[in-house]
Amino acid sequence: MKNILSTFLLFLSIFYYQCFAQSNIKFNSLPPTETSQYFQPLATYLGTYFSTGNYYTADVSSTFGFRFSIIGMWSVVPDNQKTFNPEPGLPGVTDVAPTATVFGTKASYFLGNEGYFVYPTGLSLKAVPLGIYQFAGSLFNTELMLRFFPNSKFGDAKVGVFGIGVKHEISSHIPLLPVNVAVQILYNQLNFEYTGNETDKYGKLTSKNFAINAHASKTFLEMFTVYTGLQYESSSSDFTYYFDDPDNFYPTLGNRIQDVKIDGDNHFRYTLGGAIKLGFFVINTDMNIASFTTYSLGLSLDF
Amino acid sequence: MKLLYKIFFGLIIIASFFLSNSCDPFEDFYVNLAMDTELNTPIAGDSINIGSNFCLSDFDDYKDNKDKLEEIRYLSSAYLTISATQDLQGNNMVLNLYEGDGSTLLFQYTLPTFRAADYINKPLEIKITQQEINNINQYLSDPDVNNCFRAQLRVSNVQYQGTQPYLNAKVEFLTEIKVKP
Repeated sequence: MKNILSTFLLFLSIFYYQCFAQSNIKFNSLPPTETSQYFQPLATYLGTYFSTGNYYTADVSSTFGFRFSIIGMWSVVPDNQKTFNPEPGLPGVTDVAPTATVFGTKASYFLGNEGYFVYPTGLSLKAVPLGIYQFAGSLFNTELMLRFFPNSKFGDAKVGVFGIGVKHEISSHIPLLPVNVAVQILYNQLNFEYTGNETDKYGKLTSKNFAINAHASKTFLEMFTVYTGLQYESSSSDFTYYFDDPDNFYPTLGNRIQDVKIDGDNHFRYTLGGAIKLGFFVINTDMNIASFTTYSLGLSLDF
Repeated sequence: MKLLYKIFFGLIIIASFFLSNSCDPFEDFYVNLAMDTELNTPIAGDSINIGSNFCLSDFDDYKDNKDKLEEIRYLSSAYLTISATQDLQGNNMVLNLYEGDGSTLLFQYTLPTFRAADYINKPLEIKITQQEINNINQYLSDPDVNNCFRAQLRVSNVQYQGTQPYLNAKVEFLTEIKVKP
């Protein structure tokens, strides 16, 4: 289980360094207004990611229950999240062709006073595969879910995750209801910071994600469960970075630390899935219609 | 029940195998490679004739992706004056780009009159013909070859103010390289 979360956190570290190791993914060459557009799909994705895999049943134990889950996800990057229309705000520079976001493929350019300015390309991702783990304990039809990894160093990066969710089974108060119904509220936070010595590579990301949902499930033969839910979610990321402007396109903004607040494009999600319970093991899979359509596959130990 | 458990875990292993081997999340990756070469010279006589050689391997973006290149193609180019003698000007500006041998012409750009100061903080976009673009792309068609180029600037009937004429200029070439995911 430690390896799964370590892999996830290592992915984030690799993702960050990929931005420098891969040629021309120099996101720190963008002014704040364009940085927010470049990274907005990432803010949206993190909201989608953290708000996935939170349930596979609305039935919460009336006595004591415990669950440990590992969830894998495959989030499809939609085309409208792969490009943005740049507005450099420089004299004489207009009508710049659409350029790649952090997930995009092709970057644009313009001819400015100091020569060509080349936008950073993206990671050329058509989907994002990631996983996460979580613990949950329940009592009196109420479940507390936790995701936690303390701020830890991986190379020149420090990463930490905290998530908490509370779920209550409403149908426990309505005995004749043919399905189980629950409501759930969730908060997840990701902290990431570059801790190396190269000032021009500095970056810090704090992603905050909130979700509230209502979901229902029905179990057949005490083994097969079908579940569905509707969820409202929102996400925002605070991004601090060193704006590297060697050609001095932006003399009042360049070559100093900048702060950007990026709101994700997350709002509503619909989930439909199924689960199979074999003894203490549960395997579940679901499809999530959200800003990033996401398919998840979970494996749980459920007592 | 034991059989069900075996089937259960077997399905997980099979699903993991397929997920890890057949789901490639990466698309083709494109990088804009900006190549620049400086043309600097003190000026002797009434003409400017300066050149500079450069190769793809002079630039980090090419070196970093050399082993994974699929394609390189020309996008655009521009001339900039960095600094020059006051009122440096002339006629018949010719900017040639040659292959690395210095004699096979890839494109030729001409201006009837040239004022160096016009292109300080206001680059001159070098517009070339489709045939010339094809010439460059044909020369770059094998991305495994570290192609070299020579840029040559000539201006005739040069006039200026002062006693030590000079021109510091830069030519930028923008290409797009396609990298294997």
